[in-house]
Amino acid sequence: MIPFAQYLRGLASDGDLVTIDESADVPPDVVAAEALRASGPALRYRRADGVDLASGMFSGPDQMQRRESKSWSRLALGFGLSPDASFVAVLDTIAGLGPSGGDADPTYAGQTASRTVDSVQDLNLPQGTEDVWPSLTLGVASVSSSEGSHWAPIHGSVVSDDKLRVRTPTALSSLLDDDGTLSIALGVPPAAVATAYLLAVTGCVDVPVQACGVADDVPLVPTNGGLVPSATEIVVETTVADRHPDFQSDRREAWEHGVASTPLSLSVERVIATDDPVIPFSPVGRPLADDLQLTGLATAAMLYRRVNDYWGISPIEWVLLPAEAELGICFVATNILYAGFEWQLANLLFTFSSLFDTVIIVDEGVSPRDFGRVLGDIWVKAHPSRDWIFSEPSAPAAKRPRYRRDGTTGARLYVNAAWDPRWEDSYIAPRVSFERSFPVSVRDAARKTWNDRHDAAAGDGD
Amino acid sequence: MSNHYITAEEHLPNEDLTETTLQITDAETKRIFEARVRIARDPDELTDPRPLRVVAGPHEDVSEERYVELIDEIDSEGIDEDRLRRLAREQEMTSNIVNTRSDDLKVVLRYLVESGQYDSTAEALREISFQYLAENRPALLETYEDVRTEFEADPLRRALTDGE
Amino acid sequence: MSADSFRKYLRLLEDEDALVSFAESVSWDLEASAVTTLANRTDGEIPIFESVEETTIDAALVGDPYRGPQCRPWEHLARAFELPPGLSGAAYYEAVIDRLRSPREPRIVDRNAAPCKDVVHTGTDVDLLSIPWPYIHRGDGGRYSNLHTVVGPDPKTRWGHWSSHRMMIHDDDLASLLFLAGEQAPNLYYYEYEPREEPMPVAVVLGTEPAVQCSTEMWIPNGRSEAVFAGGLKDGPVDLVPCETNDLYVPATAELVLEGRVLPNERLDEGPFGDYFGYMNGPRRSMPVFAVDAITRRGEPRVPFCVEGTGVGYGQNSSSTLQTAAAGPDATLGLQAAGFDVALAVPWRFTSQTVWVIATDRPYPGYLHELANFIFTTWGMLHIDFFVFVDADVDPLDPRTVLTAIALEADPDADFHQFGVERMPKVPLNIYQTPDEKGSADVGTSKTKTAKAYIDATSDRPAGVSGGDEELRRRAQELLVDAGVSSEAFDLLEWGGDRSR
Repeated sequence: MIPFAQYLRGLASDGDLVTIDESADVPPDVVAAEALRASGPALRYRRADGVDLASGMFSGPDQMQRRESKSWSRLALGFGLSPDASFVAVLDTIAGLGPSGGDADPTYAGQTASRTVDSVQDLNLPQGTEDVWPSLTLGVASVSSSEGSHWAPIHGSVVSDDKLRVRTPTALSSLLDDDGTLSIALGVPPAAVATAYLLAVTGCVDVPVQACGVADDVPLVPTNGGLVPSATEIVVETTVADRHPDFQSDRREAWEHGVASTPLSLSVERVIATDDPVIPFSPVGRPLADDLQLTGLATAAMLYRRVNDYWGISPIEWVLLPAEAELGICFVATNILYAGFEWQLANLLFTFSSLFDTVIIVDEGVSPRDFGRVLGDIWVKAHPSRDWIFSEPSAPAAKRPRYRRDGTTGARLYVNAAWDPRWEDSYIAPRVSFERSFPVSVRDAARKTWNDRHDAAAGDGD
Repeated sequence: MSNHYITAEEHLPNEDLTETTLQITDAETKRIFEARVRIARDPDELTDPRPLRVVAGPHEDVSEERYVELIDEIDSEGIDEDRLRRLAREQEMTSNIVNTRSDDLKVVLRYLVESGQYDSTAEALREISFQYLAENRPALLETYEDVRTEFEADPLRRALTDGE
Repeated sequence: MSADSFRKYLRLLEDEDALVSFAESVSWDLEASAVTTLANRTDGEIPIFESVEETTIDAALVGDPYRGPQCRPWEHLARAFELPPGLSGAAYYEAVIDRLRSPREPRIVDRNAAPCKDVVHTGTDVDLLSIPWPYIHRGDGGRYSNLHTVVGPDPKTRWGHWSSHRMMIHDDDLASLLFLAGEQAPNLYYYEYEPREEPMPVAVVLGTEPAVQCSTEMWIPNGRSEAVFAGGLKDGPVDLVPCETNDLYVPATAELVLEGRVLPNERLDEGPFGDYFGYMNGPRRSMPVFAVDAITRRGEPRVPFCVEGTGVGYGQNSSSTLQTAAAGPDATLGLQAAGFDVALAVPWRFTSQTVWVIATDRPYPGYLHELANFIFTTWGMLHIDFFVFVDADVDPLDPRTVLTAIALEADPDADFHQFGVERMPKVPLNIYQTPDEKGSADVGTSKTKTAKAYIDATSDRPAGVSGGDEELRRRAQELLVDAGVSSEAFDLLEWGGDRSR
């Protein structure tokens, strides 16, 4: 388990986090968005007033170019994996944080946040360019029930000294009494926020965290709401003021595209913080934002596990819901077991997630690190006439895209960019690549020549 | 001559050991040229056999090893048909005596005649030369054959020669 | 300094530390190509191999000289044309289009003043194998030249037609050319010269100046010549010189010129080759024969080549860069000149030719249908299978925004058009047709047709959902650069993060 502040220090020592002094004229969400758009490092904002902020720590460089690190590399570090950990290792880790069938063994520790803060406004939470009030994002809500504590994502606005307007999954809200208590944990270990997202997208908010894999890894501490990670930077304890408030807010964190969510009005009872707190925020709605990446990874983890459990064999190599496609396209690499398998697979994916109506299928052996290859193969391996399969226009509308928001039915599409299993092996064109186009002796000589290129005195050409 | 050659399966004649003309690649220099060849699976069936990789398949990434005997490399411009035609036309007006100017050859040829193998030194020289050309310059002979057939089918020419 | 010869272009690269020279001998047999593949893959310097084994003349090989940097593929060419440094993609396109709007007639120079004629060999002195042609991929049918200009006759213009067709080397004076019917020079050969049993004069020219290489990749309307657009591009006339053995003109500063004839009714093997799809493609086909009558060259020619097939996915090579930096602006101008309301037309970065992205308004119903099919019936005919249309304010050079547009705006029910209808020609280099479908068509083009499709990823919402206040964004970028983030990827800053505005 890696606490949030330690996680940030780890990113900094890896050269993947830059500290920036807060600027008076540029709101943090704009800076955060620009850093993400430029595939820059994670950021920490040093502030004169209030709590330090961090952004981009759950995101990563866009995969439209060859990059040394991937969109999940930072999170891998945050989970205690090597930053080179395979994509599937990250998916498996996330899936393992969820319901564990009762095998979990929770541990408890003392609250790291021991300092009381006078008012939630003293936190000086960031106010975005479009915001009327300061906002909190990437929060983990914790609520108690007779079965245990329940976590879910939460975000909202600070409307006064002691009033919050938030949005959280309906499933969590339904666990609350009218004057129930809810704690908001900000700056939790990456494993904890990933758990909240996973529970939301898998519809398992009702499973207590004590029965989830996360409890094995993250020590917990009680609050007036439910249990939160003991290493939380800031805990905001609240009571529910109104379970059905009538305010409208435009901001939606990415998990809300596929999960029913509801507004709540909360009264702040107490705010506690560590001595030098730093909390994350996401420039919600901007490309590659942290909440978008987290949703994509949690959903991919869920899909990967569910499809691979489905047939008794595990033909699926990976499932990816890239932030670059705003969760509107699902990519899957698989062994095509037999002709027609791809149709089954696509339909299964559509069944398990309502976010997208487009699935791209590629061969096993295509690495999730080679997204560029996927973006090429779609068009050259899939025959435009036979391998782009449109269903009849009677499928329910997908939730993420901007078309057919009125819910009219329409078609779904899957693109089969894998080799036709009926083809003879000799029909399959060998790929041009360093590894395949040159025998080993030539590759060795070439590597040596290339790597030594600055050593030898280069002659003047003319 | 290189050690190793490459050609495509589609260029191969249906049967082993049949003589054929095809495009063949020198595996080392990658030079591609036309040659008269014979191909066999068993090198013992060929004179001076060289390894031959025969590539096949839609992407030619499938291959098998055979052996090739290079009989005659076709000149890159091919046989100059025009030249053959001209020579054939000129031949009509000139004598067909060829003088080898070799005492040694004459002795040997006369030996063959006196030992009963040939009726005359001219016949011996004809037979031996054509046999050699058939083995080593078959393309030239074939092309000449075509030119000559063309000639004989020419009605004007026939009329002129008939009139002689 | 503008690059009005290939040599000057190489010098320019060297000044930028974008060129690396290898003095030790390399082999033309796969090794030069393998090193270039590594250079391409690592976004590294462009390699020049000063010494090539087993070569009778003092020639150098240059591996993918036109490959541009990953984040700004047009950068080297922008310098070659003396455009301001640090241009964004859209600004580069605008600048190039501006140049193309003012074509310039070329200038004929005397053969004694033409560097491409420093050394002249004709007749029996012609020895094609004296040039260090590279063997590029394991499994290729032969050694190849594939980064050159084929100069062919054009009855409508004085300067001939320039185009690009790969060439497989056979022997001292013979090569085969991949001539696919549908393209201009092959059409002239198959349907005019060959039926008349007349050899078609051509010249294959290597190591021309950047403006010439760029215009070779462009689609120029019938009746105009690439030469005048090359002049527009470089903002000055291209110097041409007559050939020794035929009536064509070739660029005078070229490194190497092969003059000859494409013979009627003759065929030689051509292929397999690892081509632009990124896959080895075969089998060999019978293709027209190029008989070389003369080789003229500089004393120590620099012979460029392209490791084709490495310009897909994340990869970049000369041909993928030329598509983005030359074909794209030309296509944009061409579409605008044809009356379409196109902001930018660019090739999709990951496929090199198969997919194009067009940012456009939609002035009337059916407009996209007309636009797509206009291109499919003209220059897009053989190689392009798909268009993706995005709003005019979406940057088609930013593939993330294009992918997002497809995901969020293209409705499978209504916005995917012409999939499933097989009516159009396809280049046989494709990998999705079976061998039977491709056939061994006499004129190269695949026997079986394919579908040509387009995706409408424009939004139905009114514009105005902007990315935010540009001034605020620029300030944010400046703050990040101040804090130590590299300025390279920021689009609103001048190159080098100069903040004097």
